[in-house]
Amino acid sequence: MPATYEPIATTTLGSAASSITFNSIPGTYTDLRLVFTGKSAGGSNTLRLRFNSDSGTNYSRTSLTGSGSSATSAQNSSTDNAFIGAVNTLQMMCNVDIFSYAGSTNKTLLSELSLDQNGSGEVRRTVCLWRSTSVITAIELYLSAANFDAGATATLYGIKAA
Amino acid sequence: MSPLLQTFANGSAFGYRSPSAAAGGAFESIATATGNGSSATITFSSIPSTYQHLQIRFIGKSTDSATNTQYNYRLRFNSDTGTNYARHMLNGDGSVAQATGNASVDSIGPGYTPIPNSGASLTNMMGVGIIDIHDYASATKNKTARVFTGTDLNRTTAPTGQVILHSGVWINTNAITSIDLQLTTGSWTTSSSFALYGIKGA
Repeated sequence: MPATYEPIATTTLGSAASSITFNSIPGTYTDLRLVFTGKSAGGSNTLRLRFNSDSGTNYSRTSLTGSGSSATSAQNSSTDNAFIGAVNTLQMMCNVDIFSYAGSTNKTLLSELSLDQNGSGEVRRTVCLWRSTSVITAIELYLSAANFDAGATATLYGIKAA
Repeated sequence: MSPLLQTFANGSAFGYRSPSAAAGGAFESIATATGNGSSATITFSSIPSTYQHLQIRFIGKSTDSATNTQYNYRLRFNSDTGTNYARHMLNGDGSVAQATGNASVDSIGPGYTPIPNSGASLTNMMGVGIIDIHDYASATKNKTARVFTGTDLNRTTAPTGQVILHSGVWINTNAITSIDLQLTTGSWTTSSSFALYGIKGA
């Protein structure tokens, strides 16, 4: 009997790299959870995801962000990535839950991002939509305009319902 | 091993199994349920008390298609419809971040838990959520739940997306043995899917 919550793959960067990609994701789970911790090798950046190498404007998001001085919300339609939040030169972390990734509806994720830069930073909660009914078989994490620093770690978990 | 009793009042459900039948690990699947297109309520009942915490993960949608809009659901425990709940919410609708709360209400959820309907422009759009319920089997503590939920519809005009952090308390010390998720309008579509997990303590 398969485990309910199990790691599928982990990648830890031995040197700076522009992206981390999980390929050939099995379709045997109910949900996926991506856990990432890392920092930018090039200063202030943003962490983004793409599914199945889709770089079309098929993504959108609604976010809720606390900056340390205010709380804001934003919505972005028809973007070319699933936007998770800020990354900088101190370690950040995020959890990304991808629901029914092998199902026949559009794909929706919830993300939780925590970034503190000892004087700035953000805590962000985001819902992202990928307007595709395709099964997610690949996930790419990348920064907007820099490499991940060495040591960045991403683990993909599968969660399986009864 | 025989399945545990299941008395889901609405929707379809399957997969109850005893904790001992599950694979190793602290996070176990207890039951799943899907919408049937004609019932507003999903019920997990006869929940075993052998875990420390519970988690529900779901995708959901209402069958109502009168307009392109979003509805909400009520979260209730042990079929208690009395005003024995309180709730707080922090949400973002794409333009404003706001916080609200209510005391002595009849459920956790309504007003704060967007579920898209089946309007023509919302095809294949789903609401999603994770509900954590801590110490659900305690006989001495009130029960607290955390809900992280959201929906994005790729729209800048109403209905827009919502991302929500939501807490609620059930002012009752009984162990939770059943959980209802009741839509305020329409029924859960057949594409709606719910999974209840148990998290073990040491």
